[in-house]
Formats: sequence, structure tokens, C-alpha cells
Amino acid sequence: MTAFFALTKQLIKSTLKPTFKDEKEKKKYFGTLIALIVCLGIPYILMLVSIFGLVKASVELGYLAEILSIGFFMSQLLTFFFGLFKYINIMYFSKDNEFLFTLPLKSVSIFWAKFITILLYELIFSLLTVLPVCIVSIIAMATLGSFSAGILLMMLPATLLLPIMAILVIALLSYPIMKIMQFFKNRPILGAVMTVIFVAAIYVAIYLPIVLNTPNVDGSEIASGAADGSGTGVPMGEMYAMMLPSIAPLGKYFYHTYLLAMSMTVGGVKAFGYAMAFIGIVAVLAALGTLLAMWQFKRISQGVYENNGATASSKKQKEVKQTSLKKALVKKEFSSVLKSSNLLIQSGMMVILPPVLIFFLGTMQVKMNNSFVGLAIAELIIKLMTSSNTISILAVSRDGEGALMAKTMPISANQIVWSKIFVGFVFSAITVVLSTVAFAFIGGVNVLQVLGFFLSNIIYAWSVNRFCVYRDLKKPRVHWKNIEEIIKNNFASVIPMFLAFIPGLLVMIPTMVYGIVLTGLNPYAVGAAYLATTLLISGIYYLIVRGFTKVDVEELWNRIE
Amino acid sequence: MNDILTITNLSKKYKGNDKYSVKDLSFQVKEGELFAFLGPNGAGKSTTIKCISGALPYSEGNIKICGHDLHESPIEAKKNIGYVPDNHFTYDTMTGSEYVNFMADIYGVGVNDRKTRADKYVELFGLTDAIGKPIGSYSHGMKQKICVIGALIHNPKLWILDEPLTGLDPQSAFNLKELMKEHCKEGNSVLFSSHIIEVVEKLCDRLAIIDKGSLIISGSMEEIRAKNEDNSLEEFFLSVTQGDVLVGDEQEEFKF
Repeated sequence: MTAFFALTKQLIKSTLKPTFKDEKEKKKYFGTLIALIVCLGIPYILMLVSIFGLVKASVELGYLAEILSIGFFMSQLLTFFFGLFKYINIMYFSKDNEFLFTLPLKSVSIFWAKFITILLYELIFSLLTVLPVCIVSIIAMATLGSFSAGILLMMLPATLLLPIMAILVIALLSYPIMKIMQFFKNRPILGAVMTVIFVAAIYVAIYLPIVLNTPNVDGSEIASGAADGSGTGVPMGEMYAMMLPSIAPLGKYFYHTYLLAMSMTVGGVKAFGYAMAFIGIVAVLAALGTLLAMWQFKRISQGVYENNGATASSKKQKEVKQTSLKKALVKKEFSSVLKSSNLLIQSGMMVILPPVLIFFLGTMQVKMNNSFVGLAIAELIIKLMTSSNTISILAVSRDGEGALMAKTMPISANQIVWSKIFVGFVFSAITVVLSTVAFAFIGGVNVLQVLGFFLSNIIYAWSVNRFCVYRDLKKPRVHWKNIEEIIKNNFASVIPMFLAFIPGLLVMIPTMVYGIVLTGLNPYAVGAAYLATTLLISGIYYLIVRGFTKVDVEELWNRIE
Repeated sequence: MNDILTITNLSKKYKGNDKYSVKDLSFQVKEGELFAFLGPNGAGKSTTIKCISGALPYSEGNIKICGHDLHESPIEAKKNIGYVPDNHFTYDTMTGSEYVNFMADIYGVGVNDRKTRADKYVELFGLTDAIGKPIGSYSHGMKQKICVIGALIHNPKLWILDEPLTGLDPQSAFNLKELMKEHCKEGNSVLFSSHIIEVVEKLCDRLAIIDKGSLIISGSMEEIRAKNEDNSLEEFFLSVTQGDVLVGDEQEEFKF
């Protein structure tokens, strides 16, 4: 086996293959996996069914290319969102870099082995999003007799190239991100803030043109859209017919995915031209992205672990003051978060991205006269983001073997755990405050909606942080040498995020229904209905979390080994 | 005897630090030699070893391994070394045998050679029962042992070990020391760092003492003893590392 192949095989294995200490752990893992597949499988099938309806309506109304373009772009956006830190962690923050550079391998070989690993990881995601959408589209087109061979031919290239494109953009952007982090390495807080601002600016750059191009739609246009599309004859079809004329034109503005979608739908020589144009864009990106990333890979990676070996410059000694135990524990928690750039950046993202996304997506919906859809989206976004708070997800694990030291101290475990929940909550609370401000600014909402959004999400933030800290307390991973490793391998974050879909959807669906059904009522009455619903869901969530976390904290703490 | 490792005026400054971690360091390790690198904590031992192994970049000086310049032909130079880091990094998801085979693939070792060597070392370090288990389940000492096996699988000309005896049980420590001697007897060389003077005194042919990134003295044990008849190596080590670093002529006086 060649060295490159052996390395690639190993990296793929260590990234994708789960490891188990014993049979019990293996059984538990697969049990959880099956439960997750069953739980998520149902909404996934429902989603495919609704996509089928959407594609059918799009074919009938002549919006198929636009809708496919939007779908492909959203898939890329998700790959980008989840892939950005995965890429940076595997490529630059991985503990194995220091080891790999001592082996007789070219740094280009190490780069490609890692790049292929990341691509495969993202390809799995693409297989679950792009491919089924294509298959469903083919079936929908076939049932309407407007089948195009282009979609069949381009289905696999699309599945492969869409995530590749997103990863290439990440490869290009990771260079300035790493440069910012390294430039501010002696001031991690400033470095993290600059990185977060940079990434937020990327999101703004993505969303701004979309929002600016979103057409202003008033009620009469929606009504006429419904009338035009009433040919579908079913309520769902009518709803799509109502929505499509206002949403579909956006698809044209995602130029690259629109080219791909056109290659799938127009047929003939034109389809070939569109396909070549799309492939050409990918090729240019590939050349730029990989060349820049390859060129800088060794230098940046070595710079990351070099920082660990450098002795920090001595700082001015502050005056020492005695403080209470509670304050001392909270201070220690804040300090451990603020001193890890990676943790700080991930937390910073959690703070800054929801208000950015809520502002832009909300504005789009308001422009399209769908303020309740904007509110519903905001609810889902904030719940998903506050549930992926790494500070709380790794509350105990990030202490490393320091947690064992803490066991020897005369402190109540309840106090330690409270301080961990509190610090995680502070970051989530900032997210909620900023998101509420963004939400209030988009317009089309009244004071009751803003109040309901703020109060319910503050309650949710406390509950979800409590849930995450207790989860980690049950099974912390304290034996690590490099905090970046434990952050990188933080697969546990996926579960609270998936679970967040439940309260998220439970608020989202009635909110959207209120927007459609209660149109004749006073806006404050509708706002009150939303406020009551969202507070009720958050209250129930809080009670469920309290019930699940009614455990003997001291005993759990003592079990850490 | 040929030089297996030649370090000339090596200097290393970590990014963002004003001070040199290693300054103007020069020494050689010859064929068949067991060379120790002695120094207090933070002296620059690990930094030097990481530069030699290719883990850390350096901007000043030269490192040649078996005649290959580490900057100019890194692959050829690295093919000649086997490196056991102080943090004994391995992939926790691999089993011991997967790791050994992975290292053998990286260094292009044939199936028969890798099997013969792996069997020998696995038995020597008592890992027979653990070799099929994931490395994540290994103890500190077991991880150290699997790293040693991985580093020796291609029978390197230069075996580099950073603080190799930390965390090993007495039997394993003895076996490792014997293995280091055996490796040298076969015409290869060993470079290891330590701050345990007794180990260095008993084991090595030649040594270098560094402190605050600079070389204080290098030479064979006999040469150092001859220069320092009144004191033990421990007393000598303490006297030279607790005071200021010797410079200029003072340093020259201790070079052999």
C-alpha cells in the first residue's frame, strides 16, 4: 500500500469510524443510532413527500429550475455552515499534524489525504440531501410527462460537485480566518471577535444580494398567485401555487446553482452548455481553492501547534483579591472559555450568526408579506443555535484531568455544575438578546411577538444549557492532551441540536398556522396567541429538562474517572 | 565513523516570542552512537528534537540526517529516522497492529520484515494480548510502547526519543534501554533527551547538555569526566545549569 493511500485510509477511518471501549458501548451506540434514524426518518420522508408536491407544482407553473436552484443552494449553505469548522479543525487544529509532519510524506500528500477525508464527510450529507431531491424530482417530472434526460445525467455530478464547491469556498476562506487567528494569537479574545466578525461578514455577503433581490409582494399578488395555481386542485398544491410566484424568482440569483438546475431541466444542446458552465465554475474554484490551501497548509498547521510550545509573554500581575466561592467558580469557567480560541470562536458564532440569519431571512419574509413565516424561522434558528452551545456541551470534558483535581477539593459538585450552566447560559442569553433586537428591527412584528420571542427563548436557553451540562456530566471525556482535539471530536453536539427540532417545530408550525388562519384578527390578538404558545412550549421544555436532570449530581461527579 | 546527524548553528524562535528557544546549537551524532541530550525543564531539548524530526520549522542553521539536508530533501532525510515523541501521539481508533502496519506502509516496509520486527517487539514489550485492541484503551505506558514499535518498524538509521522513560514500568524501561543499546550495536544511532542524569550516565556514549536554548557542553562521558574529576555528573550538571550560560571562550573550553 502506498504511503498516501495508507494515510488517506487511516484519516477516513479515524474521522468516520466510531470506536467503542466494549460491547455494551457498541450496543448503546447502535441503539441510539437506530432510534435517531427512526425519529428523523419519519420527518425526512414527510419532507421528501412535500418536495415531491413542490416539484410537481413547480413543473406545472414553470419554476422547476428556480426551485431546484434554491434547493441546491440551501444544501450548499448547510454544507458550508457545518463544514467550515470541521474543515479548520481537521486541516489545521488536528493533533495529528505534529506527528504527520515527522513522517516521510510530502505536505501536499497530507493535505490531500485530509481534503479527501473532509470531502467524504460532506458527501454523506450531500447523499442525504441533493440525491433524494433529484430522485424525487425525476419521479415528479415523469408523472407529469415532462421528463428531461439532463436531470438523470447531472444527478450524480450534482451530488458530488455541490459539496465539493462548498468545501472549496471553505478552503479559500479558511486562509484569511487562520491568518486572523494567528495574527491575534496572543490576544485570543480579540482574535476570536475578529474571526467571528469575518465569518458573519461572509454570511452578510451571501444574504445581502438575496435580500436586495427579493421582490416586494403584497396581499393581492399572493391572492392572484393562488388563483393562477388553483389548477392543482388540492390544498397543498394551492399553497405551493401561492408561494411559488414570490419565492421561485430568487433561484435565478444563485447563479451557479441556477446553471446546474438549468442543465437538468432545459434539455438539448443548451443543457450541455449550462452543464459545462457549471463544471467550469467548479474547476476555477478548485484551482484557486486547492492551490491556496495547499500552499499555506504546512505553514499554518505548524503555526498552530508552534503556539502551544511558545512560552507566553509575562503579563503584569494584577492585585489579588479574595472572592466568594461562587464568583471564583464562575470566573474560572469564563477564563477556561476565553483562553481557548477555538471554543471562543465556536461560541462567538453561536452568538452572532442567529441575529444575522434572523435579520436577513426575516427581512426576506417580510418583503414577501410572510412576517409569520419570518417569526417561525427565527424561532427554529435560535433554538437550533442555542442548542449547539459547545461551552455547555463540553462543560465537564473541557476541564480535562482538571476535573479529577476538582474532585479532591472541598467543593460541592452542585456549585461547580451551576457555574457551568450559568456561563453557558450567559453566552446563549447574549444570543437571545441580539436575536430579539434583530427580530424587532425586521419590522412586521408587534411588541407581544417580540416579548414572547425574548421571554420564551431565555427560558429555553437556560433549560438547554442545563440539559447539555448534565449530559456531559453523565459521561465526560476528561483524558485529553489538547483541548482542540476534544472540541474537534465533539460529535455529542449533534444530539441536542437534533432534539432542538422538536421544540423548534412545535413553535414554528403553530406560528405559521396563525399567520395563515388568523388573518382576520387584531394583530395584538395574534401576537398574544403566539406569545402564549411559545411560552407554553418553552415552559414544558423547562419542566421536562428539570425532570430528566433530577439526578444526584454529587454521585455523578464522583463517578468521573 | 560517519555522521548520522549533523546540526550546525541551529536557532529556533517560536512565533510571537522575542527570545530564542534554541540558539546557535551545533553537534553531531555518529554511526553506532548512543547520544543523550541533557538539560533542565524548558532548556530547549524538545524544541531541538522536534526540529530534527521535522515537526517544527526552523529558520536558522542546518540539520543533516544521513547526509540529507532536512530543508532540501525532507522526505529522504525523514526516511532515515524513527521518532518517539514525548506526547506519544497515536490514532486512538486504531488497534495496536493497525498502527504498526500503518507505520510500515508509510515507510514502505515489506510484509515479511514488518511481521518479523513487529512480532519481536510486541513480545519484548508484553503487548501480545493488547495488540488487537484499540489504542484508545491503552494505558500511558502501553501507548509509549506502541509508539516505540511504530518508530522501529523500518529499522531507522537514527532513532530519536523524547523523554522515553517517562511512564514506563521498570521492566519495560530496562527493555527499552537494552533495545537502544542493541540498535546502536547494529550500526544505527540513537538520540534521546532526558533530564534523568543517572540514566544518561549509565547509557550513553556521548552527551550534550543544553540550558536556556544554548549548548553548554558536548562530548563523550570519558571526556566530561576527565574535565570534571572532582565532581559527579550530577554535581557538574547542577553547577553548569544553575549558573549563567557559558559564552564564547568559556563554551569553547567545554567542547570536545
